Amino acid sequence: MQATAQVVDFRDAAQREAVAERATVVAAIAGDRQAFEKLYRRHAARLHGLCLRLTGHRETAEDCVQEAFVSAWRALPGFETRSAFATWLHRIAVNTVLARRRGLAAALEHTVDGEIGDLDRRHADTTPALDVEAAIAALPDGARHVLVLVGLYGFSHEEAADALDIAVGTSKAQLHRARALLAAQLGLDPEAT
Amino acid sequence: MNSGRSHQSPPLDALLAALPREVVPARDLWPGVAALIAPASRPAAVHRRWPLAFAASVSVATAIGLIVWQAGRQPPPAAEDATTSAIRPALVEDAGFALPGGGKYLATRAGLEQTYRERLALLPPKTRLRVEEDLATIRAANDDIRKALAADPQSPVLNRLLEGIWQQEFDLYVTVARNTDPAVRRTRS
Repeated sequence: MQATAQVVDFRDAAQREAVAERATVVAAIAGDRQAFEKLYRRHAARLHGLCLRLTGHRETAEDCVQEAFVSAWRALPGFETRSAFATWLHRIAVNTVLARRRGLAAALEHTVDGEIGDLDRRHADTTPALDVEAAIAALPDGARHVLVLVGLYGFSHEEAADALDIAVGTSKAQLHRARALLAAQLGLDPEAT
Repeated sequence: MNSGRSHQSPPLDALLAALPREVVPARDLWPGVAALIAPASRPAAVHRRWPLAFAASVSVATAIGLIVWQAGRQPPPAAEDATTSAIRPALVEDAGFALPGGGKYLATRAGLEQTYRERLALLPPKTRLRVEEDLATIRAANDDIRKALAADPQSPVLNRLLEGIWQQEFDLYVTVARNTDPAVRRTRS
């Protein structure tokens, strides 16, 4: 009985949150910058996590987060409120990261000697989480992008393939590759992954 | 080399699941965003959406006007039908907008809606379809805003949006009534 009540309470809270978010999105669509700041406060950390793992570079990730929010603000009038705002925003962030990478300067920004790689050298073998972050940062771009989107941020293979402009089969193959490389780097038994 | 470690390491999925999805930026990025989203920075479409319904009713008026003009059989409505004439003063009186939910608002809205339903059949099929689609758009927008208001009843922006949607619904009814006046007059004469 108690467990049931908790589930109901949780669902109600989730629904309330969803409705509140929708209200904030509607207000932002109407041009309310305070509402948009609320959305920023709610989503910035997750978006930053995504960008940081996609780029492997803190400053680039911060720039991408800012660019993504600015792009989102400009694109909000066309946003369909029946869609999930977070999903839409994540997609904009991925596009922002990829657009940067296509630029000449972007080609020089990502390197395993970047921030996460540095952290890894300073704190090698201190925490498993740091091992994993460093191992992810060291993955080849294609494998890392798919792992981050599908393995960490809940994209489907179809969504990831669409965002990365690759085939769904390629997305699946890259995820398999990423997992195998990670297992090797982390010294995990491939059969246990 | 890593064999000893592999026996103790949690599976990869558990390691990935343990990673925080949220990573707070080292600095507050909002000031940079805010500087770039100054009011003038949004394209002209900034107010387009909410008034998606507004655009809808404009398209309704345009569609009806175009069809009437193309038909070329009816003169422009020089005088309004008695029904429309009776409605419009009431609308004007209330259009300052008695708060929806109030008696005046509901009575005016009911009268307009009744006329709309009676007149809808007088429109050419294509126009009628478009009008009905526009009304559906308006009502969907109304539902969205009401749901949003349930969570944030004091939001001035949402309340303004809701008033705008009511206005669009009224405008649509009046537009239909006005554009079907000639047909109603012919029927009566």
